[in-house]
Amino acid sequence: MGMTADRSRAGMEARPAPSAAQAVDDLYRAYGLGLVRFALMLVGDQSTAEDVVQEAFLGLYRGWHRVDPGSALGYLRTAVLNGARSVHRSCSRGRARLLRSVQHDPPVWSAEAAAMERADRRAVLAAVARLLRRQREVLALRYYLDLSEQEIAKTLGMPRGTVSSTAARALSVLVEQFGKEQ
Amino acid sequence: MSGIEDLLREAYQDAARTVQPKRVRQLALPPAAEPRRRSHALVPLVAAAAVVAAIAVAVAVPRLLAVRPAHNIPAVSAAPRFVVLLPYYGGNVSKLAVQAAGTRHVIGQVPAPHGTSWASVAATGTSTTFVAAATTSGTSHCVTMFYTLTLGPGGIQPRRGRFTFPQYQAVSLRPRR
Repeated sequence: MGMTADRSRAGMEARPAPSAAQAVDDLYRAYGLGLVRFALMLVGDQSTAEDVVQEAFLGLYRGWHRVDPGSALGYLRTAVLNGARSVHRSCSRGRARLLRSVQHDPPVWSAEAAAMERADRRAVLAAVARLLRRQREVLALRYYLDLSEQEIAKTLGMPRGTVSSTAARALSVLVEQFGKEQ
Repeated sequence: MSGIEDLLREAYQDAARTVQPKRVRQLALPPAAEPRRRSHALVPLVAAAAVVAAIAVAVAVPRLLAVRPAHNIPAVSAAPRFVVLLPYYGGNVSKLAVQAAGTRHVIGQVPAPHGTSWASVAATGTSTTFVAAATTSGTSHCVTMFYTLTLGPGGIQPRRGRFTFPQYQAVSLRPRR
């Protein structure tokens, strides 16, 4: 998660308080766009993706004194994943209709959004959206962020073998659906 | 698997390109104080103060409401025309939704005041006036402010004003879990 409990007390107190906002702002300029795009793969629409990423950075800002700056990106990735899970949980609790009418745009891969031109690419992302949550996360981390299995395992807090088998199962489902195996 | 893997990579990149850098909003950190290390020594004192405050409110509010004359209670119309709801999707709620009571169509939204997010909303019994609570976020202490929302004739263009207590008696702001 990027939180370190063993940082020296002197190190934490030596950091001047006004630097927190600046440091988080610098991180947002460096990684904000990439994380919004990553969140988009998980939640489907840009508006919700931006909300999720803003929450992740706000969490980083609130807990800045507990976060090792060197692992801030890992912390943010995990926070985005958790935020996306919260979005899906809330949507499945019966307020989906209201949420769609107030907050959510159609998924970027839907024909309604008309954001992606290639139908086959829209279709594969629509099929990914129907996979299990853990499968969707593994695929986005592997094929969008290009993380290694070890990095994915660390981000999701699961064994490396589980990452491998989850990705394989997810790809099998997609291959079955598209008949693209060559 | 290379075929589906390639297609997946291309699809992700295609979807990513729909997010234009210029259209991503800026980071909005709370305008108040920088985050501070919590003083753990103060935790018991704060907890005790919170308990005392809760007891004081529980005792004082019913008495305060009890002395209000009954004729000041606004009459409840036959059926409310509008409802104001708090959409919750896991993060801070930046907008309240105004719905037509009959059709449940969303006909307007009420943005939270700058630096706050909506925490709760309640009807007052008049069908066009509601009371909403907004909390500051991101600071080391939480401040809650109350607002009255007065809807226009069509339920849109809601006006927002500060809540003066005691003003309404048919209000129940239940805390979110």
